[in-house]
Amino acid sequence: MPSATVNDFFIALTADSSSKDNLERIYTGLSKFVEVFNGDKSIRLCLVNNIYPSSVKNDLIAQIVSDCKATRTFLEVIIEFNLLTSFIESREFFLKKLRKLLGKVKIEVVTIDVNHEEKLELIKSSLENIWGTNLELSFKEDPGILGGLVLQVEDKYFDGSLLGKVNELKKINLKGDFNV
Amino acid sequence: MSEEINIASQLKFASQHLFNLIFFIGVLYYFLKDTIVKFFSNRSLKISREIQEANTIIETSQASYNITSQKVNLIDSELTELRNSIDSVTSRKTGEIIENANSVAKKIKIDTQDIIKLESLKLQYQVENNILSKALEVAQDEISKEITEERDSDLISSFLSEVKQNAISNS
Repeated sequence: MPSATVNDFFIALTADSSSKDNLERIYTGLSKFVEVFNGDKSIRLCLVNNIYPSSVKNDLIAQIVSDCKATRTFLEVIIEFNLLTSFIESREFFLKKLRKLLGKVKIEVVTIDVNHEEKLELIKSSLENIWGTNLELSFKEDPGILGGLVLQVEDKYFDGSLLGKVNELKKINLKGDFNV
Repeated sequence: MSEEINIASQLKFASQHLFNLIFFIGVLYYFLKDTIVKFFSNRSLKISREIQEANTIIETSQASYNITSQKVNLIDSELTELRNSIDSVTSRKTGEIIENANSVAKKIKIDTQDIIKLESLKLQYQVENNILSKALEVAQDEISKEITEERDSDLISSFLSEVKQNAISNS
């Protein structure tokens, strides 16, 4: 008899939570879980390692995802079915699927300075103009890009930085031809 | 007259001795004839036997000599053949070795020329890359010095309008 997959539980989770608010809560809960999982090594080790009992893992999940029961139940079930590793390996896929259900677009913006409010507002308004107002925006500072910005819109990558333009010049040789 | 008496006495004396001699020879002949005949006959037989043995030995020796001579001739011809064969094999092998050495030398020469060409190209690219890297480093330094908030905002606006165009054309 074929066993259930993470995707089956995920479909059940999203089908039960039909309202947008519920889906938003689930997304927030799962995002928080993924963020904590990525950031804290001890939590990562505890959740992935089978020597820890389920009760310890469930307590940890309850602490991380305290405000969404459906997300908590989902995570507890996949731990019970020993599917946490599969979920972790495909976490970005499931989050993206939820964002699609919510009509949300995740955009990561890299600039040389994140303290310039006026510039950030300009970027935000331009991005809302392109992809709508339901955006999950995050700004990252990297002086190494020299100027301009780099966008990661879901799976798409847009490089409008000066470093990117300089790197393009590396493809040209001294005679001005493109290197093969 | 006395001379005649002397001659007669001398003749008498001579005839007596001649008789004695003939008698003596007769006696000798009578007693020694068989012994001497037998002795010479035996000796003749022995000599003829020895001659026969010598002939046999000579014949055997001749036969041995002939056989040995044939063998020597055979060995000599084989040696000559062997020498000729060694000479031809040696000259052939020497030719092959020289030919191989020439072809290997030619190949090595071509390979070396190719390697030299590739290495010089590689070095040329490395030098070009180093020059380009240095030029780009200088350009990066200049850009980081020259960039202002205003220019950065212009750059961002221009890029975002490009992205918008791209998004519109894709949708």
